[in-house]
Amino acid sequence: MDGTDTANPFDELYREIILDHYKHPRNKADLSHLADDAVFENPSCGDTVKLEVCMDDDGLIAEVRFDGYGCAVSTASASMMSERLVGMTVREARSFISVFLSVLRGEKDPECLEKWGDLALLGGVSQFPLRIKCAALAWHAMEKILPEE
Amino acid sequence: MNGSNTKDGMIPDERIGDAFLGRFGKDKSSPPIQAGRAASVRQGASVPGGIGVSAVETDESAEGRSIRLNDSLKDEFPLLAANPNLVYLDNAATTQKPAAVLDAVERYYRESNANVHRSLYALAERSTLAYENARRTVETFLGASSPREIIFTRGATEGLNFLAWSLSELLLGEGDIVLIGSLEHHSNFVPWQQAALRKGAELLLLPGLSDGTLDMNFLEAIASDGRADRVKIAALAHVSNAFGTVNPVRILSQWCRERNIPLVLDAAQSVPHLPIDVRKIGADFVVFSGHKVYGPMGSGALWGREEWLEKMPPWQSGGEMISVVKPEKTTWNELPYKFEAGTPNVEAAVGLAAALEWMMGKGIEALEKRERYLELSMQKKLEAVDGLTLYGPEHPDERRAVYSFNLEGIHSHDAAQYLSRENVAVRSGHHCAQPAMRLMGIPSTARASLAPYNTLGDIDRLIDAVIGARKYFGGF
Repeated sequence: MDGTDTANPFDELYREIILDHYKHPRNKADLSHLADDAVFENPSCGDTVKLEVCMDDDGLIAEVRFDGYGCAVSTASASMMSERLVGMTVREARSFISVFLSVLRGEKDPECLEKWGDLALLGGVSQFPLRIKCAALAWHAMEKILPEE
Repeated sequence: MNGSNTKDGMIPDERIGDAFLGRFGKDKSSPPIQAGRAASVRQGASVPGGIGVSAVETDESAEGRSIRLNDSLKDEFPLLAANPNLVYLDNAATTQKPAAVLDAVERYYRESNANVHRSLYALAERSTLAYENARRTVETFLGASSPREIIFTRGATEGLNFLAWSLSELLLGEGDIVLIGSLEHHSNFVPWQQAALRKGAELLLLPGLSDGTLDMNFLEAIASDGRADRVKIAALAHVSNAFGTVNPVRILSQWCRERNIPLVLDAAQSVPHLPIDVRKIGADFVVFSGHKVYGPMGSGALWGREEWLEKMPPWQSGGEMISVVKPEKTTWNELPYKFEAGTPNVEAAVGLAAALEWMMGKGIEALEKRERYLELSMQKKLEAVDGLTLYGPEHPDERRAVYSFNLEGIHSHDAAQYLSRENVAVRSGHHCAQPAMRLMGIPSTARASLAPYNTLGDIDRLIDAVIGARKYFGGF
């Protein structure tokens, strides 16, 4: 409680790569052409996200773009997701999202994210129960807007 | 060690605070900051319930009491004493509890536990006495004229839900209006909105201004366009939990009085910081939470004018609130029991009373005075931080204890998380006041809120951490 621990979990949450995604979000775009009901909100902190997904002719995710307002964790999470889902089928993306959300909820070991690059670092959020919603926002939104398989 | 040679209204420039705190002992030699008109000073006068704080009595009058700014009230709060490095600035959410409260709750269970108001044996009498004495303490604290007007609740939220239900049953019909402020906490917003929906009535908001104050000219506007005639109930926060705004209660209470409209005052954020006298404030109901005034979670009380309470229907029914129960009809118990169905939370009432006694022992005005120094310092120092936007009224007299801010380009969650790393506890988010946030055009803020046990050292730690957060998340 006195902050005397040497390994401060704060640094686990705000890893350099996460801050980099926050300061230089990938695939962030002006999506004001989308209707207001396309906004997903985290009512507990007022964070918002809008998503746009383009599919290619083979039924693979070609591009994910996002817009919105959020903290470092929610912005980095959306940014990383937008890179990661490209090239997946809808089915693969849904299963991927479900695994990621399970890790956030603490139901799956963060180790299972290890081969997922930058995203593995977001697993650290599971130590911050109050921030899980921040990391999950874009992923929940994606679950809602992905087309039916 | 420098004495704090301050005059009334001046902030001492030298750092007073951590160096004097608990584990380092206190500097008994430094002169006190005095409340009221200072006269002869008696050092180290004992204060009821006081442990280790030397209050200073200037004369026999209630206001002649002062708590020195460099005395540590933290010694009396076991959680704070055990965590000397913690800077707790989330007092608007809940306060820490003094040992006097913890002891009172434990003592109740060890010595007096029995159900109240029912049995004749000695222990039950003792329990009933503890509960009713607690009611008397709340009555004294609020300046009420009868214990019949004091109803125990589990907090401001329950009090407001009760009032919204019961007053709307009594007064509200189709096309009527409930008038409330636009900076309200959800607990003084949603119950009225739902009551209005149930009754086909309208919820009308006193418009807010960009500095977090209310546009009271609106009252004249609705008086001239005739809407005032449809207003049947009014409710207002005394102090905004989001921006610390002290709302002009008197203007609204006078307006309501002229029209015989009952005014409900949500005093959850004012009772901890301002002396409240229900006979003077002009409201018909005053609601507050015990846990924000050093009492237990789940404690609270409301005061209501007897003439209204007599007319209002009971909210919950069951044991204790009845007089005669027959299959076809029940008559209600007298006040205040009509509104206290079931076995009450005696522990909470006893703990709340201990908390209020602790405050009265220190002197409400002495606590306010001490906090005022902290408030002025807090505002001045926050305003001096580059890239920091402080929301709420500019003039310190229009604000109490609550400081909502954002750092440019940095989300309040990130700022608060960094502060947490530095062991500085603040709130971040919308503070259960989404309409107020929308009014400001912001989704969330970081909020630091004071209690008299805070120190100037705490404020310095906050400022250092805020500057640290700005550097960490970096000028963008």
